[in-house]
Amino acid sequence: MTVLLICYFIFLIGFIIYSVIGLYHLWRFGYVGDLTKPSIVIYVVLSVTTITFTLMAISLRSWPTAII
Amino acid sequence: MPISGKYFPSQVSGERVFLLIRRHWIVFAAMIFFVFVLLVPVVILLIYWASNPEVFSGSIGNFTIIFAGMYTLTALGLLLYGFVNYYLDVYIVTNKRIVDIKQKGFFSREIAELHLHQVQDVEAEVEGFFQTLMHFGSIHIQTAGERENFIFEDVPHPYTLAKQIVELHEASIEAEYEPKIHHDDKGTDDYRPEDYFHSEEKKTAESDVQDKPFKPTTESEVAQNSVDQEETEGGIKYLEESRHSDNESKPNRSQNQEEDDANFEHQKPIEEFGFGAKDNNQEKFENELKEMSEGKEVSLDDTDREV
Repeated sequence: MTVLLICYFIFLIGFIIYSVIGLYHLWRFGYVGDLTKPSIVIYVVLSVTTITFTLMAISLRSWPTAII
Repeated sequence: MPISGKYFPSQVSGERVFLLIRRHWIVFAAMIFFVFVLLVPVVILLIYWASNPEVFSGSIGNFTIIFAGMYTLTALGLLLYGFVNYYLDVYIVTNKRIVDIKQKGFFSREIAELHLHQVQDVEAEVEGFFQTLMHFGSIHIQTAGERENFIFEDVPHPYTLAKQIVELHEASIEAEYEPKIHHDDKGTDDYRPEDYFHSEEKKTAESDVQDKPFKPTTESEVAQNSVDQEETEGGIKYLEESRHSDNESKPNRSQNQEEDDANFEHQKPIEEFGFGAKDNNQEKFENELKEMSEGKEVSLDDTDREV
């Protein structure tokens, strides 16, 4: 189970890097007055909400101390 | 309505955006639907968990939380990828060129440009039931030379857009003209593709060439000029003599001359009949200028104009 947690956190780091690259593209190549800024805000809100709920659920549960 | 200010990264000064086209929203809606379908199992799982919490009490619950979290974030990542691909794929038509920006993923971006002069043919294509129903399709822009044709895929209202591109192309054909920018009370620039005026610099240059007398500077030019003057004087004398004899032999020459003048009116170069022409179109020009200053729209298909 601990391995699963480690995998999740590695995935989380990868997801954050991926998101930063994607949002940078939207911010860099977006156009004046279009939907890039609202879409960035919506994506960030949805992602942070999902990550927060997952982390809360993980922290509220008991995890075995064994590595595997 | 043209868009004022800098609108896309490679926009040059004085370049006005007339059309900014993205693919039809249905293309992105399909992506949203796909992600929604992906998230349906997660929603069902959460509902089941709420009704039967004892099932997820052990390690199954831990695994489900992590898997559901990763799965949801992956779906969100896919949505971001689809949005970047959809939204950063843009076709821009300005008063100078057509810009085709294609975003392929996060790290591949192609920008192709085509000058409006190079447009040879514009073809709109709506194919299939769905495209007909949702009013979207493709626009094929045939280019001059060996360049690849421009294809706008899945754009909304392709027939209207193709017509507008053709109109902008026709307006840009008048390459010797330059745009007139209207400044309205709101401080925004109003630019119309058909409002072209003769370049003041060009007119000045042409009048300089016509009015400036030839002044020889070098010795060879002085010698040549004296010869030319003698020939000219001789020619004038000859013409005067022949004119006297012509007048006697052709009493109705003035009538022929009038006919020639009438024919010549139809053979004037195109630019003389342009919007800024001030000779025999003076009255029409002033009327149109007055209308424009009053903020009246001048339609693109102004068939009265003699161009």
